[in-house]
Order: sequence, then C-alpha cells, then structure tokens
Amino acid sequence: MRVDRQQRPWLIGCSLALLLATACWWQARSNPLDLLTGGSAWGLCFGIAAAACMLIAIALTLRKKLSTWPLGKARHWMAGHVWLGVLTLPLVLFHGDFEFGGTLTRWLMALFFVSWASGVFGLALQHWLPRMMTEQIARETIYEQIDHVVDLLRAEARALVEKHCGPLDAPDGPRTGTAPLRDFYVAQVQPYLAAARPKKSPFDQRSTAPMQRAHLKRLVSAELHDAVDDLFDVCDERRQIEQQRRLHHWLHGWLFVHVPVSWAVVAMTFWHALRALHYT
Amino acid sequence: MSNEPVVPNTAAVGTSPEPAPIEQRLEYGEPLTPDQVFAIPQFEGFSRGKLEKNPGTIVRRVFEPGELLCREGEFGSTAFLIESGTAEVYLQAQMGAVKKQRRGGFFHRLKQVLTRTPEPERGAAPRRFIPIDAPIDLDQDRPIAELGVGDLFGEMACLSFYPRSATVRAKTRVVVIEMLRNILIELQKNAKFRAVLEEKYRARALDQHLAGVPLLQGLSREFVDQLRPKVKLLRFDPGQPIFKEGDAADGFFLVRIGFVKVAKQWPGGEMILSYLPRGSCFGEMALLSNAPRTASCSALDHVEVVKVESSDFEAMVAQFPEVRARLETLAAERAAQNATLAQRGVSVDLEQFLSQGLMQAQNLLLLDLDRCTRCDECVHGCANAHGGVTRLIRDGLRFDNYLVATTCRTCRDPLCMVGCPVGSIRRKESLEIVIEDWCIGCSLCAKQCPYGNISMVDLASGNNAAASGAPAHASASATAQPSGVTSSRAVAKPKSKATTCDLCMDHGEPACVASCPHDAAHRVDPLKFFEERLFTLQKSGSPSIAPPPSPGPR
Repeated sequence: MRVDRQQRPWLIGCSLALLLATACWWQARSNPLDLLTGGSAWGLCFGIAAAACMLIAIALTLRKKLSTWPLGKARHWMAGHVWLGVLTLPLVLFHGDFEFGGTLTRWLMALFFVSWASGVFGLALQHWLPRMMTEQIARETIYEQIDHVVDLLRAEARALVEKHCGPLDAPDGPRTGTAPLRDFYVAQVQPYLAAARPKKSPFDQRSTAPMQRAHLKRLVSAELHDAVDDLFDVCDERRQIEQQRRLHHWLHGWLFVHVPVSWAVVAMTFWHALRALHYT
Repeated sequence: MSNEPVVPNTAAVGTSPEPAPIEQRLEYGEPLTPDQVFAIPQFEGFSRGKLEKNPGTIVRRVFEPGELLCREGEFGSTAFLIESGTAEVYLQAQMGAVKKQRRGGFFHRLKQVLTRTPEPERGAAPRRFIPIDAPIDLDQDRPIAELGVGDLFGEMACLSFYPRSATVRAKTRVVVIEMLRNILIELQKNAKFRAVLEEKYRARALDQHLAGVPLLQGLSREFVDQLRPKVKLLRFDPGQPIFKEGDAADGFFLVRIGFVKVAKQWPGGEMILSYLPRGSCFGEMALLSNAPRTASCSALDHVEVVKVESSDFEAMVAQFPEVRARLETLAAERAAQNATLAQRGVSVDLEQFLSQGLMQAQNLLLLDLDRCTRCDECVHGCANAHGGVTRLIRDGLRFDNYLVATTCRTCRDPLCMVGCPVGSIRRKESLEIVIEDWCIGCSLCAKQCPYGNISMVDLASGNNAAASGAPAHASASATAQPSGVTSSRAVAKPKSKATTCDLCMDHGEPACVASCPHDAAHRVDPLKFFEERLFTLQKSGSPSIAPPPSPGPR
C-alpha cells in the first residue's frame, strides 16, 4: 500500500486518536490515587482498545479469504490494517505504562515489536519497490512464469547462435567468421543463462553489458551485428527477470516473518487476557 | 463429423469470409450419378451440367442407429439432407459448468444470502431456444430435437466453414444426402427447393425464433399464425448490405442463417454495434418510429433472413396493442444504448491509441504499477467469484505506469462474437460480453479475440462431474441427453468451455477491483481515463505510450 494523499483521512483520524490516548494516559498517570497498571481502569481501556485494533488488523486475512462476501472493499481493510496496526503500539505501551510485566508479557511484547516493526518495514517496501520494479523491469513477467521464461530464453539464444554459426556440437567447428560469436556464447552467455541464480557475470550489471556488446561487434563481421544485438537482448531480459525475482522476494519475503508472528501475538494476547481475568 | 475432411476456419474476421480450400470430392459414402440425384424430389430442376462438372461432390450415406452424423465443435464443410429415417440433434455441452459457484453447507447458503447471488437459473437467460445449424432450435431446458425426412442441416458449416453447432445421431437407420458447398449453393437457388425450405421454416422454426426475440416473447398463437404466411426468406452474400443507415424502414428481420453486422457511421470511421447470430431480430426500431434506419446492417457471411414487411407488421401490431407497447419500450432502450455508444466514441482520436487497440476497448482493467505489489489478490478474487476459474491474467501491455491486464475489454467491435455456432457469446445491454452456458467449446471465440482475452477452461480440471472422477458418460448424462441413452453409446465428450470476464455484473463491483488491497486495480472507460492522462502527458512532452514490453506469459 502506498502512503499518499488518499490516506489523509486515516492519518488525521489516527493522529486524533493518538492525541486522545496520550491525553488519557497523561491524565491517568498523574492521578496519585490510582496507579496506572494493566489491570487499572485506564490500563484496561488501553488494553481493550489495543486488542480491538489488533483484531481489526488481523481481520484483513479473513477479508482476503472471503473475497466475494459483501464486507467492503479490500483497500479499506488494508488501510485499516496499516493505520490501526500502527496505532496499536502506543496503546499497548500505555496499557502497561511502558512496563513489560512478567515472562509471558515480556515475550508477548517482544513478539509484538517484531510484528509491528516487520509490518512497518513491509509498508515501506511496498511503498517504494513497486515503482522501482516498474522503472527497472520493462520486461516483467508473472513471477510463477519466471522459470518457464528462462527456459525459453535459453532455447532462443541457442537457436540464434546455431542459426548463424551452425550446430554447437558440429565436429568441423563453426562456420567461417562466426567463431567469436560462438565462443562468446559458449563461454559467457550459456553459463549465464544456464545458472539458476546468475551472478558475477558481465550481463548482471546493466553498465558492463554495452562494453561487452561493443567488443564482440568489433570481432565479428557486420552481418552478425544484428545477431549480437539479439543475443544481448536475450541476456538483458534474463538480467531483468532475475532483478524482478530479487525485488519480488523483497516485496513479499517480509510476510514470512510478519504473518506468523502476528498470529502468535494474537494468540498470546488472548492467553494474556484469560490469565489476567483469572487472577483479577 | 469424424470421418470427413476437417477444414479450419481461415476466414478473415470482420470481413467476408473467403472459402477455405476444401477437398472437391467427398471421401465417404456412395457418389451419386446425375440420374440418381434427379430421382431425389428436392433436386428436381437441378442443373445437370453442375453435377457433371463436379463429380463426387454429392454422396448418399447410411448411418445405423446410434452412429454420429456430426459432432458439435468440429469443423465441417458439408451439409446433410435427410432422405429417410430420424436423427436426434442435441447439445453435449454441460450447462453451467463454468459459472456455477461451489456448493456448500451452511456457510455457502449464508454467503448466498449475504451476497444476494442466487443459484443460476435457466430462465434468467434471455433466450429460451439455442440457435443451431438446423431447421429447428433447441429448447434451453431440454436441448434435444428430432430431424426427419427432408430436413436440411449443416448449412452454416458448409457455407461459411463454422464449427458444427450440435451433435446429430441416428435414431433409426438414417439415409442422408451429403453435399459440398457448390451443390448447396446451387440447391438454394432452386425455387422449388426454396419453397419447401420456407414452408418448413414457417412450420418449425419461426415460432421458436419469434419466441427468442425478447419483445415478442409470450405472443399469442393467433399473432404467430397471422404472421406465418407473411414472412419471406431472403439471401445475402458476404458483405452485401441488407439496409443502410438512413434508408426508409420497410421491414422487420429475423436472422435464419449466418451473422449480420450492425454498424453505424461516426466521425473517425465505422463503429460496430453488434454481430447478430441466428435467431436474432433487427429493424424493429424504424418500424415503430417511422424514422429512417438508425444503423446499417450487412451480411457478414452467407446470410438468410426472414423479412416481415412493415405494412403487414403495422397492420398486425395495430391489432395487438400489448405487442406495440413492448416494442416501443425496446425501441427506447435501444436508442438509449446507441446514444451511450455514440457518446463514448467521438471524444478522442489518437493514432497510437488505435495501434494498441485501446481505442477499441470500452472497459479496461488497469493495474497501477506504482501501487501494485504483484500479490495476485485480483486474480484470486476473480477466481473466487467464478467457481475457482480466473478470467484475468496479470500480464499484458503497459501504458505509462499502468498495466492493461489480459481480460475482456468489451470491444466496440467484438470480433469474438463472429461465428459462434450456437450463438452463446453475446453482448448484454450493459455492454459486457457474456458466454452462455450452452457453449460447446469449439474455441472459435478464443481464437478470434485479438487480445487473447478469452480462455478455454478444461472441464476435466474444473469443478464439475468429470473432475470428481466420474466416468465420462456419467458426467455427460448429467447434462443434455436424449431419451433412452445408454452408457455404451458413442457420445461426444465435452472438452472445454470458453470463459471471459463478465465484469461481475452479478456482484455489483468487479471482484478483481474489490479484492485489490492496494487500490491498484481499476476498471475504467479508457477514453475518459486516458484522455485526461494523454492531455497531461502531451503537455509535459513525455512519451504517451510505451512499447509493449513482452508478448505476455510464454
């Protein structure tokens, strides 16, 4: 989700809620007769508000599962997830008056911080990376299709070289004047395209590839220049696809931390609430 | 038919279809000599020279009970005339196999109540009869009929090389005359044969065609009986105009064979309003308002229409005021629809827009790539709304920072609608393209969509009986089967069905848009949406349209 002008109502609403909560917390802790703890009246209010925010935030998962139910637009749920999730941190801190309590609550707080921080980290990634991906990867494909596209690129490059140089495994070698192209393909292009995660190759950097291309063109006749361009285009597409894979992993990898930790936080919050009620 | 030469449809879409190269002789059956042909009553008066010049283009074939004469979805190049015996004509395609939502227990019912999406009802379809390439149409609730002596079927497949629209099976021992296109064309010119054909049409198909016209549904028997002798059949060659915009209205038409192109002239060129398949009606607006024709109609391929003269029609409508009221309502709706189309079509004219095909679109799914996190929630939302089968692919052309997703654009010129042998793909009044349940899976629409936006769904992997491991005949028997079917009978097994985006008209908002948590998916009218952006881009001097980055998923 991009944090932009459209989020202004949420920003204003959450800022007001934070101001109100801060005023209440200040009022509560300045009362010498009633110590602010998780079990005090104000502490409970903060705890219940924080738990409610957590539940609304986690309900985004249900909204995604029940996509055809008339539960409102997913973007509103996502905005609620983000802003109420952010608001949960001060509410939780006010709930315990910045004290983390015993072992269970310390673990709960630790997990909550991980969940909150990973969420904010993911929000930042989702704000910047889509635009970066759009700008850097003109030949983007569907993520699940990447391996298939790479296979096609391999086949395309090999067919291109064999068309001009003859079969790669021909006993009498390449056609006259095409040896540099074939050698370059065998030494550089083939390993680059064959690698599952190609790195440390001239094609891996956009800046070094043009030098390689110019060098190879000097070695071959003018008739093969188009073939050289085509070969480098294939490699550039491979480079872009690998870059897409990397960005995609950044874009979604944080969810492997955020989602399970968040569910653990919700489960421990319930356990924490039950124990608190039991001992009250 | 399995043992006849398979002729792919190579006709140019949107133009007069050129005949595909075909074998000039029929491979199976007993070739008939001219004398044998003249012995058949329908061929009385036929040109002997034609027969002598084209030996082997007409044969007699015998089918034992249970044998298939032709199979739906397969391409054919011959027509059949039944000489003796009875044949069953039916659709093997499973109804509702693609659209049907998953069935469930309490939560499924609760969801249906909450989402207000009732189970699909047969009666909800606009037509009760499924148009097929035979002298009779099939009832949607029980798509089976019988063909008897003298019935001619397979005309559209023979003349325009469309796929067979239905499966025909011999019920008794059937003797048919099978003929190639040159013989059929000659036969249709034969006045005596045409008189018999018209008589049969009046007797069998006219009622069904009239019942299939929305505004004429529920007509009294008296009305139809009065109308019956007044209709006449007219033939048009590919590209031949039926009437032109501005002409005086002189009749009301029903399409008997072929496809009629309805177009209107706008600044910047012709805009296609619709392609009308067999069973459709046109020309009713001008009849009502006494105004000139509001659009041009021409034959897209070999077309036969049934014409009701306006003088006859006026006299009849005057006798039936309820019919007149319904006609007036429909005329008002059509006029409003055309006005909407006109409004959309005149505002922008950009060459680059045309080259990308965006000008053709009326409703695009755009993904804002600056917002889209590539989470595929739009695809999942679409699949959830359509029984697990998605109707969009998150790939396609880029325009500025938008991805034009691969899903139906509801084109102004919906080429996908041309040639559907059973008329199951059509445009609704709200302009979205829908594919009705009786799709036979011939994939012609998918091949003709220039943007690859129609997908063929393999029923074996979908939510249907075949997927649950039931034997083929069991899954087929859940659908349309003639009486007395046994599992040993050779049946055409449905392979796939076409699906396309229906804009989720039953759900209020497209599921892909509602499911996007990042506000990246938008369904927009491209002319309005891009007009503003292009204006902005042109002012700032930046390029307006990026070249296509890749041809799509490989």
